[in-house]
Parts: sequence; structure tokens; C-alpha cells
Amino acid sequence: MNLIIFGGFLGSGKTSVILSMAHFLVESEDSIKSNLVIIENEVGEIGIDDKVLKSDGYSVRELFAGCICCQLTSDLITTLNDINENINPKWVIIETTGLAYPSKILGNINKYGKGIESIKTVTVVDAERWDELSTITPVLVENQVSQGDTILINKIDLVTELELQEVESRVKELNRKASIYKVSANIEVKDCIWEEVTKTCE
Amino acid sequence: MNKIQKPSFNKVHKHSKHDEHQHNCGCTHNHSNEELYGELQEVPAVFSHSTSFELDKEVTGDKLKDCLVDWVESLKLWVSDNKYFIGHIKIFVENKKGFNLWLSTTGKKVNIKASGEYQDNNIKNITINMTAIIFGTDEQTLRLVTLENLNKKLPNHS
Repeated sequence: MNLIIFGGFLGSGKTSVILSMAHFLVESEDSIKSNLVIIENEVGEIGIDDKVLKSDGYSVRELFAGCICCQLTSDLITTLNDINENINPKWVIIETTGLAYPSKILGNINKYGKGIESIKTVTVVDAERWDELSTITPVLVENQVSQGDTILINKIDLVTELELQEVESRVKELNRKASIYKVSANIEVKDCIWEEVTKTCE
Repeated sequence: MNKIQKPSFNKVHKHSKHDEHQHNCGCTHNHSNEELYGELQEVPAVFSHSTSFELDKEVTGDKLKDCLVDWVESLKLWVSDNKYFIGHIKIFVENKKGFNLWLSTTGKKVNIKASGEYQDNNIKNITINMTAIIFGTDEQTLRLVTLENLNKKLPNHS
């Protein structure tokens, strides 16, 4: 299984981005829907994003009412190992809550996950709220950005060119190793971005 | 983007960031960055709710969408009036006839996505699933305000 962990703050557009990537994966020549399972983690007791993904026909496993980086760590490992044993898909996408610290999730998966060939972390950044989020939850936002292998700066249609440059520059300061792409998931995420993300997994 | 003032949250325990060479906080173990980050509590109030009901008379998808947008706008106004901060408000509405409506906001515009059958539907029975994540308030207040506003904004229902 190739794991792609999507992190990023609340409302940054993770579900929209995942819908785009899931569509890309199942539309690829050698992929079918059973080759993809999405694990949906939400901090609320009732799932919303899982319903959105299911309404598009995707296979979704839910982990609600807590965060997989802390309260639901063992549930995540159990779910992953169950998926490995019973489905063994080519791709597993994990949508974390917007309050999750990706480094904690990675540590636990590396230690206890079975049948995992590769892990990649994609962090979705909300360009429209960058300034506010950096003020209100600076530690969380900085941690999420610094842990991403790929950073998608989302909602670029909602900011000016100057604002976008400021966000990009700050993201680069926080994470010099990551590949950075600027997207607007509500409009389109180009397939070439997903090709790059998946190429390095396989 | 506007600069905003940081609201005062209940931070239970706050560590300042420091590296190993400047480590003099008196404890006997090494702090990793994760441990330090984990101890900084940036905790929002979270309220999730699911309810199914029957409207007194059928409404169009557009009418229902307008009512739900009004509901979300009323929550945005409450947050803004109290200088709280929206993490995320998201709503998924469905019925057994394939009607799906997804609304979400981070305090700016309300984003709306709908199923193909959305326009033509005359709707009487629906299920509303919602989660609101708000910084600066508590769960009990959030629950009270959210449900009170839902009852005000929805058409007559039982």
C-alpha cells in the first residue's frame, strides 16, 4: 500500500483536494476504485467529509470524535492493518483533522503499520487565511507546513498576487525541502501535480 | 488580508520553543519538537449534530439552500460579534431521493456544492449533519446558539 497523508488546517480545502486526487487515481489507466481507500478522520462526533466522498462513490473508512495524532492513534493503526489484510489497495489516502500534527501520525505508522510500501505527506495551506491562522494557531500551522513532502497552497483565486508571494515566501522559509504547488481546488488541480505526487510514491 | 488580534484562549500549558543547547527548563528528559508542540493547547469548541425531520410543506432545493445559508450566516455573525474565530463550519444535507447539499465556511464566503438532482427536487424529509469548530467559546454555548439559530432559520418543521 502507498499511503498519502493529507494535513493542513481546518477549512484549508483538504476534502476538495482529495476529491481531485481520488478522481485522478481512479481515472488513471491501471487504477480502479477498489485500488483506493480513503480514511477520514474528523474531530466532530458526526462525519461530514466522509459523506461528501461517499456520495462520489469512494470507499471510505471513518475515524470520528478525536484526532489520529493523539486520541485515535490505535484506531488508525488497527484500521490501516485491517485495510492491508482485507483489501490491500494500491493507494490509501488519509485525511487528517485540521488540528493534527502530521509528525506524530508518521511516527506511529512507521512503527506499527503493516504492508506499507511508501508514505508521503501532503500539506494543504489556506492562502486566504494564512495571516489569521499564523496569528491564532502559529505552532500548529508551522508544524503542519514544516512536515509536508508536498505543499499545496490552495485558494489562490481568493488572494492577490502580492499576498500569494508573501504566503509562498513564508512557506519556503518553514520548509525548504518540500515541492510547492499553487492551486485552486474549487476550480481545478492539474493532473501533472498528481502525477508528480504519485510518481515519487511508486 | 487583514491583520487580526489574537483572541484569548484557555491555554492550559504553554512551553516556549527552545533547542537542546538552550535546554534549561529543569526536567530530566529531552524535549522533541513534537512534545513541545503537543503541549501548546490551541483548543477550539467542537459541536456536531445530526437531525432528521419532516417539513410542514414541500420546499424547493433553492429555498432550502437559502435557509441553510441564512443559518450559517447567523453563526458567522455571532462569531464576529463576540470576536471568536471560525475553524470550520460544515454541513451535509441529504434525503433518500438522492438530494445532497454540502455547505462550508471558514468565516469568509459560504461554499456550496450540490448533487445533480438538487434543482428539481421538492423536498419534505431531510437529514442535516453538521459540525462547527469555533475558537474562543465553549461547547455548551456553541450548541445552544447553533440549535437556536437552526430553529429560527428553517421552514416550519416537526
